[in-house]
Amino acid sequence: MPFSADFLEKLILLALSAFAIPFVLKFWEQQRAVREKDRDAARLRQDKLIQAQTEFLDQLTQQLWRWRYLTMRVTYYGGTDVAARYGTAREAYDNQIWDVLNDIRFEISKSRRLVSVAVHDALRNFYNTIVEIDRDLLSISAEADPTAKKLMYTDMNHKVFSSVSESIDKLVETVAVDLGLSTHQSVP
Amino acid sequence: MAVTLRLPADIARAAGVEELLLEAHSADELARRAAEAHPEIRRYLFDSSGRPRPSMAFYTENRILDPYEQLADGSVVEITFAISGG
Repeated sequence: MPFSADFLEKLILLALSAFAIPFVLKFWEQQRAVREKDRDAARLRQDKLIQAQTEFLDQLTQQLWRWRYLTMRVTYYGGTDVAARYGTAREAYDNQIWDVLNDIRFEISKSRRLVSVAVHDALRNFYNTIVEIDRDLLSISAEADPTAKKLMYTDMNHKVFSSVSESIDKLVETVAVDLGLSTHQSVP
Repeated sequence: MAVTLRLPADIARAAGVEELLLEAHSADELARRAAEAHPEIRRYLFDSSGRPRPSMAFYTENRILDPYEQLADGSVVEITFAISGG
C-alpha cells in the first residue's frame, strides 16, 4: 500500500524529533563543555603564571636589597673609625656574598621565561654592576693606606646610598611594569 | 681671595697642618690648590681619575658650599666627607 506524501513528511518529522534533534543538542552540549574546559585550563595556566611572576618579583626585590644592605654595611663601617664593627661587617659580607650573588643570578635566570628580553637584559646589566662593586670592595679592602681606604669606602658608601639604591628601585619598577604587576603604566 | 681651608683630622695628620691659607675663588679651586701645596694629600681629595671625591663636601658658616660658588675674601672653608647609614 503506497504511503501518502503527508504521511511520509510526518514520519520524517517524527524521526528528526526522536533522534536527530537530541543528537544535535548533545553534540552542542559536548562542544560547550570542551570549550569551557579549555577556558578553565587557560585560566589556571594564567593564574599560575601570575603567581610565579609575583613570587619572582618579591624574591628579586628581597635579594637585591639583601645585597645592597650587606654592601652598605661594609662601606658605612669602612668609612668610619669603628674598626671592630668594620671587621664584623666585612666578615658578614665575605660569608654571605657568594650565596647572595647565587640567589640574585638564579632569579635573573628564572626571569628569562617571565619577562621581556629587554627587561632580562636590564637585569643582567645590573648583575654586572653588582659584580663590579664586589670587585671594587675587594680592591678597597686591600688598600694599604688607612686614610685612603677610609675615603674610598666613604665614596663607595655615597654611591651605594644614592645611585645604586635608586637603580634598584627603578629596576624593580621596570620589572613590575613589564609583568603588569604595577599600577604605573610605564616607568617614570 | 685669601681663604682658609680646614682639613679633616686624617688628612691634617698627613699634611702636617690643620689649616691652609690659600688663594682661591671657589671650593673646587681651593681643594686643587691644597693638593698642589701638599701633594701627599692629593689622593685623599681626588679619586684616581683626578675628580674630587664624590663624598667630599665643603662647609662654610654652617652651610654646604657649591664647589664652584664664588668665595668671599677671608672665608673659612671646612672639608668633610659625608657618610650615610640605612
